[in-house]
Amino acid sequence: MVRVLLYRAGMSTRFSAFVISALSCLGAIAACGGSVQGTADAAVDTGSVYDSGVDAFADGPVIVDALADVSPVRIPKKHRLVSTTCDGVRTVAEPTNPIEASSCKKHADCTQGKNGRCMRGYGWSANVYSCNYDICQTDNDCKAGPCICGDGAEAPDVCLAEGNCKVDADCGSPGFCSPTFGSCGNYGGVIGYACHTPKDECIDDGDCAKMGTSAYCAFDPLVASWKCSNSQCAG
Amino acid sequence: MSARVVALVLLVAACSAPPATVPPVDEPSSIVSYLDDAAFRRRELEASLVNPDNGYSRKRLAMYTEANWGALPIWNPPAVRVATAQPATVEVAQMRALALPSQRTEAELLALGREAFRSYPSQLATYANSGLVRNDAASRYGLFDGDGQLGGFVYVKLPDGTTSAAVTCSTCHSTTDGGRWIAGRANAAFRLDRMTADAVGGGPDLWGPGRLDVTGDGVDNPTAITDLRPVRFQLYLQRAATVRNDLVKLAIRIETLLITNLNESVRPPREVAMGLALYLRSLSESLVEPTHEGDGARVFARECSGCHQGDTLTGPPVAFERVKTDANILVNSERATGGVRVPSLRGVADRSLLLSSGAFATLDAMFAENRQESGHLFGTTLGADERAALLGYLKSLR
Repeated sequence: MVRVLLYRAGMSTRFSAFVISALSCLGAIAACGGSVQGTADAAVDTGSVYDSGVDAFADGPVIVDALADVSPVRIPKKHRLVSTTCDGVRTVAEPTNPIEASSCKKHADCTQGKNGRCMRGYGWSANVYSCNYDICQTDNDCKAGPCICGDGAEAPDVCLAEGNCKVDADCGSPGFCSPTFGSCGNYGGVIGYACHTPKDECIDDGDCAKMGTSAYCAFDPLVASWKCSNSQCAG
Repeated sequence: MSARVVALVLLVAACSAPPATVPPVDEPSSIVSYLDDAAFRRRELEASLVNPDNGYSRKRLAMYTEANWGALPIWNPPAVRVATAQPATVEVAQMRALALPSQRTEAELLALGREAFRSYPSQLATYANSGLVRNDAASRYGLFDGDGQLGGFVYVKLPDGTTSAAVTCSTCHSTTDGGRWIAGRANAAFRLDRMTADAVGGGPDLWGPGRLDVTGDGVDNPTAITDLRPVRFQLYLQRAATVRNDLVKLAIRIETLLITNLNESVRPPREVAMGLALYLRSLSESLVEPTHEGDGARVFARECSGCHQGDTLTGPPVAFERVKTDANILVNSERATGGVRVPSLRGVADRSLLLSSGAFATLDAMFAENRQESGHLFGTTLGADERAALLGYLKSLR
């Protein structure tokens, strides 16, 4: 199966017509036995075009490398091709001098979950230690979102609950499932994964530079597509 | 044409014409102008912005036009308050959009604002979907029980038919005292940092209770949630005195805040923005009038009234160098004006996040003789008797 992506941001009518024309031609070639095939991995590395609003795509997957350098269309830099299995290894030093307010003093105190570690807080809770645990090992351990492996140290393996996909295949064929911030932006971190859509106005954070250095590309449930944003918590 | 024919034509026209649009007599002209006159709104926006060069102003000057934000879809979604008793239950059948008033009188809009304060989703809070259903949600995140509503949250229906948690104005700007819900008072216990961290498997408690960073300037510069009860008295809005304040300017502030909170994807009905402005301004009625008699009032007049003036206990912005409270105000590229808003002290006795950073939890701590924290040193060098008198006066301002 060819993975043909992605959507077009602000593509002009004229350019749309060109794409439709080009894709129709390629579709015709394929239909005639031409060899326009590829693999998912190959598609990740190529700048391919997908426009679900064009009927030509219904005939089959198409790679249109020729368009990659003349349009903003491309594959997102971050997307989840397949699920992973976390190894459960966490190497964290034992706490040193936890203050009295801490809820744990050593890793062995963390017995309420799997693979617990007694971790030092920071920010407002600097020097206050508390337990965290691995929540999952594979996507099957999670409900709506994927299981995201930690860093092998402080960050545990966790389920993300928001979004509408776990891997690219959940987004149809072709499709891409990418990590997204929530409404608090980078303060909330990646809150889930969501499918890219033909309506997306951005694909990667770099598309949002016009909105400032802190802008990012995120899935917006209000329009069910990806948008540039520099939204932070309400205020 | 004879007079009879003219009369007949007028009669027919009167019967077939749309209803007259003459506003009710109790509808102030500024409310009507805000709701119906785009040019008026634009002029008011421009007049409200203190520093047209900061990020907050630039964004609005570019987007607050009929062709941009004015063209966004109006969003008044079905929503239901999150029930304290059953926070995990999304009562889809109970979801209702706000009922927009037909006559748009001040009274109707005020009633709409009162409802919207607790029911209109001011920002999606997908991070709260998992947090609200925890058994320890109320204590872990500092959520109050406001007449059966948990932490001012709502569940809202999204365009794709799914539902999500959302905050309302009430989430940050109300609390309870002895079981009584108090609108406008800052929720000094709210742990938004912890709620967002938990949603992604844990993380740092970045900001502490009652604080959050609301600006997209790329800098971690949280401020304390503000007390909205005295907003009617404030000459300026926001910590950095970013926006001039009156009824219409407050409505525009609210309207544009909701638009940016909602990712510039939709806009609220303007009736909701005006209703919220009217409602917030009504909250001042709960605050005690200050007295100007007694030792405490005299100390206050001498030490404090240069900035906290008259019965409103506020005044024009002051230079940051004069108060040196929180440097974030000065350097914030989003909202800085070079000045600092003088907060009204009406209701100060009920606040537990004093100064912009929320550095002090009590008036006693703020005016302690040997306090270590810098900033706003006025009144900290008083003798014991005068300090006690001043504190007594401030604590009367409920």
